[in-house]
Amino acid sequence: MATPIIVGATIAGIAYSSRFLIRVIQRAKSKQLFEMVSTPGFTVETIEDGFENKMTPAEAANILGLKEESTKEEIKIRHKLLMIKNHPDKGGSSYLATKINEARNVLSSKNSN
Amino acid sequence: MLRSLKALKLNSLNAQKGIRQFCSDSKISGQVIGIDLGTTNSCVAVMQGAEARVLENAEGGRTTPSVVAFTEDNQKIVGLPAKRQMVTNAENTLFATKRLIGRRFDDPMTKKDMTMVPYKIVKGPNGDAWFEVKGKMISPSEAGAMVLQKMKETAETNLGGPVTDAVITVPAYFDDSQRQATRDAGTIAGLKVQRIINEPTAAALAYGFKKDEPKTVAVYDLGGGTFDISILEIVGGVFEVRATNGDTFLGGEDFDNALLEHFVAEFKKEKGIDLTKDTMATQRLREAAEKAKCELSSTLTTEINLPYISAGPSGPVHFNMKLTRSKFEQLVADLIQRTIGPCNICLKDAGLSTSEINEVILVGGMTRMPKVQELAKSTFNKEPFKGVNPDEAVAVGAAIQGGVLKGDTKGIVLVDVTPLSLGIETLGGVFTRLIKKNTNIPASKTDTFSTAADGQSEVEIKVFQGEREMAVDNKLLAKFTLFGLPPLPKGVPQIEVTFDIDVNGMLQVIAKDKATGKAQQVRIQTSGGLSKDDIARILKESEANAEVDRKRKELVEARNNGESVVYQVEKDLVEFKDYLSQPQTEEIKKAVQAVRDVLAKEDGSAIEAEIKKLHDLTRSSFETAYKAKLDSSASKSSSTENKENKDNTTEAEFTEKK
Repeated sequence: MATPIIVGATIAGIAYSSRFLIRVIQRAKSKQLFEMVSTPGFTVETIEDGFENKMTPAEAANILGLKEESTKEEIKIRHKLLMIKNHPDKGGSSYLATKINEARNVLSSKNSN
Repeated sequence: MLRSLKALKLNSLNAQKGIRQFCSDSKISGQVIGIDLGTTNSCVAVMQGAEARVLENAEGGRTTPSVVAFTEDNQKIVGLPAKRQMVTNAENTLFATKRLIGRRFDDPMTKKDMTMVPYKIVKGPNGDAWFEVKGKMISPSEAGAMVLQKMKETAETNLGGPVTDAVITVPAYFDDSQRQATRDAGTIAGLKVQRIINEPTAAALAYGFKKDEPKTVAVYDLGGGTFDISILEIVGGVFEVRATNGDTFLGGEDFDNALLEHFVAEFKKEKGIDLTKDTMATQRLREAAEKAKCELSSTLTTEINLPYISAGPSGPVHFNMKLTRSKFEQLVADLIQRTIGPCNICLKDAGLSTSEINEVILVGGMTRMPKVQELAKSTFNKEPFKGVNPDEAVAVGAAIQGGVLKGDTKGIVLVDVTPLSLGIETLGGVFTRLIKKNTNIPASKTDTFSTAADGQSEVEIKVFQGEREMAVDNKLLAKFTLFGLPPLPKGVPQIEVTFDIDVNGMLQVIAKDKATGKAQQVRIQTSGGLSKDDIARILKESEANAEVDRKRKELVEARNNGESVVYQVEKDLVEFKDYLSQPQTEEIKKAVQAVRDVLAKEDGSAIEAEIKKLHDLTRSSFETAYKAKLDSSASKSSSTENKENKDNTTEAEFTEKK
């Protein structure tokens, strides 16, 4: 009667391994997306004008360092990264934090996906 | 009246670009405490090393009842002592004052509260709801300040030094007036309020601190007086609120009142006596209701036993009743159901479904009730997380935020939202939103409006907060007038209105006429019900009260000292009575009587003076008496020695004869 136990243990092992793999893959994917958005899309580029009176999608994209057609996920991640750097709690400027929040809203409402 | 100029707005590359200056906070030097100023109970915590620690008060409790009482001799007591004497002093004991903070007297919630509490609610000088205790007017901010002062003292006792800076929490669904009033309370209490943060956000901070896995959490916060639901994303140290909703008049106090009503009704049915006529009996029942409510979270049935609750025609009457959990749940079912609506709205606003929520966190004392837990579970299709202490999580989170502001805690950022839309009233009484609800803060929004009549030289700007489409149905936050517009046809002037919300969730409004160029500008800090003069007056009164308290303490100490001295002197009189002359004894007794007489008076200085007099008198007399007694003892001792010598002499004579 050892066979059912062995079979059961094998199935359990397979199940646990699958669960583990799924989690690892999800985490890696999330991290990869984080890196993908943060590394290549950001370039040091000086924009001569100050902020416009009314924020346009183009300006919002510039603030976040993204293209206007970026996905919601990219916008979200980029917003978080910039807030970490610019939040008033961390010595950042309230004004800049305001602009980052607004940029996220403008771009998110423009892109539906 | 203003008319929206959105359609007429011209994009101009030459438009003037405004640059605003924001002043950053100065460096914080001392400890920053986190205070959960709750409706029923308050809690204080502080970051020590890498952990947040809850501080215990003078009575040894980790939470302090948010109760303030004024005793017979006009003394003010706060916390557990105040709660203990509530039965006998109900009219002069303020509790659940958070429900009225920042509210107008004519608010329907104020009317509702007036029927629920034994103390008196009156109209304040500015139209807000205030309290009247022993003929004195007290604002809810002032009452809150007394509780905050107790929390401050608790922190100072534990930390062994002065505490100045604090982070104070408020319900997420508090509007601007309520937030400002809470901040005023901190100022009155002598605290520098570094930040006002939302309670669910603080609880999420306590939960997510040092957790690395990205999570979407729902915080279900049902406390003593308010209900909040917030949905947050926690990713890489960023705690971002996606949406929040709630009810600022739903909590444990309502559950207590439901039970109280049930008790009164049952007693009347059974004994024919209406206990609401008797303040003391009602207060005893209220206490019993709260106790029963707590017990039914862990037992299925409880018994309420209150002997001598009242007096009937045939003698004293006793209250005795059994209450089951199912009966209690039946009584409060409608209250619990009221939490479902905000949860669903919050999910919708966040654009999420229940399957996307990773965790449900229960916060607030009322979430210990099994029925509440069941409802939270069914609403979110998820077993609630119970690893967070519902009473302390908010204070712990506030302490962590204090650490962030001080710079000690790294890698954490809060991005909260404004709970209600903000806008102004435009032509026809329409509410025009400038900042929508659930907008991340800090936030800023500028829009351009114009006149509705030819030659209009001024515009009245009314700032509202709420979700209704007509302005009058929302809450009026502020009202001001922009003067000096040049006479122009309607629709031509350009009035730029800017709304700025800071990280505390508080609003600043600027209105400017773009045409005149001389920057006709009105900047208004919304009032939380207390003007700067009010706060200054209260602070001055507070200092005067501190002086009174110090004098009272001196008096008590002087009396204790006096009684000790009198006791000692009388004891010495008995001991030395054989060595004192009659005039000396009489003089000392007279001085003792003088001290006794002055002890009954209210003058600490006089008591001290009489004590000194008695002390000077008795010092020389008792010194003389003591010496005399000493000489007498020496004399006796000498006699004994002589006797011994005599014996020795006899022995010597005997030796000679041999």
